[in-house]
Amino acid sequence: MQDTTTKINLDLGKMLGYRVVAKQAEFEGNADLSSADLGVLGAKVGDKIGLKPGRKPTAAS
Amino acid sequence: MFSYAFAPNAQRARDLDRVRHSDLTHSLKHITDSCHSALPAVTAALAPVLERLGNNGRLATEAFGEYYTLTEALLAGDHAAAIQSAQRLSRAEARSDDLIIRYRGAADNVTLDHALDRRLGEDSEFAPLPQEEAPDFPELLHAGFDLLRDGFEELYHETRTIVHQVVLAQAPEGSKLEFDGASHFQFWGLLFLNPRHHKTRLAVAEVLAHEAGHSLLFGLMRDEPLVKNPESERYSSPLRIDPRPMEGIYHATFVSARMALAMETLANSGALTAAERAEAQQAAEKDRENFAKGISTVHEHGDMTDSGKQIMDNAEAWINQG
Repeated sequence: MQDTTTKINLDLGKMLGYRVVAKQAEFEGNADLSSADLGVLGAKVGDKIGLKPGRKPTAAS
Repeated sequence: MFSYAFAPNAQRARDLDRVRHSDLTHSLKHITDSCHSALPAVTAALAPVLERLGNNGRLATEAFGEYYTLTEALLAGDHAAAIQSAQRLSRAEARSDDLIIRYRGAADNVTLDHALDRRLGEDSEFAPLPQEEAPDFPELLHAGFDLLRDGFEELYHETRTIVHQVVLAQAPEGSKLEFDGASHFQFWGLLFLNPRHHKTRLAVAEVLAHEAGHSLLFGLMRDEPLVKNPESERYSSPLRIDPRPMEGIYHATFVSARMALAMETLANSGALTAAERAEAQQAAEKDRENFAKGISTVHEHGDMTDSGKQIMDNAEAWINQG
């Protein structure tokens, strides 16, 4: 039977993307953030960078 | 590990791509090992994709997005979602060497669309675009790439090495703002483009230089962010009307320099018509103005990391020599 309750512990500080988030948290004085917290922050990492809005739809567009 | 030189470099792009896949491999291996006892279905699902990666396989962009979805599910203790995510990862397509251009909402983009919805939310800024509303854009996009190839070959190869999938989309109906283009750290190799705002091959070349600049920064941001400023701090951006975190200002400033480089190089390449040359020079002037605005903010308020400072210093050095 599959264990459905055990937490899976991940070392986010070594994982793609999350290691950047962990470093950012360290810079902000939150070196003790849990993996769960880093996961939440990781959801935002590089969020839509390069999105270049600022144009309003016009008839000529 | 990587060069922070400002000039485009195709070999560096190949290294970034290789390392991004290597990092994905190691991260998935870590997940596999961590799930071995408690969640063997995840371990089993990931085995084939790890084998493909181990054989120097390259995965389509949705695989990278799915990795973040999988990790979040595991951290949330949602084992059912984690198993589903791992199974989707196991079915991830191999990346094509050809440039894949698809329309958001099209039948052949379902897998990527769903992966994007899971990461961006279903109400994101990137709404479906019926092919019949921009049927000729793929041809124009290829023309833009061809222009880069003919007029700035190194930038062309750098861009094509990193960018493999382009999704054509538009802003949702009723939006007050529309996007020109976009990229996302979590979707390595992906570009969004809004055909409405790119009507010439030169405009396409410029937006490719813009978005590829972002992707380059994503690749270089491997171990640390570019700036230490908290995301909650907001500043005026040279390229957007909404206040942005310092990381966004940094990106906008850097890509402005990259766009100026692309436009000036193309203007001097002999590959443009006389009218295009004038347009490129005008665009480069605007890009330089935007760089000046951005770098002023970065200098005044930015707290750059070591890598971030080196990258930006090199961009500024190029701007100042011209």
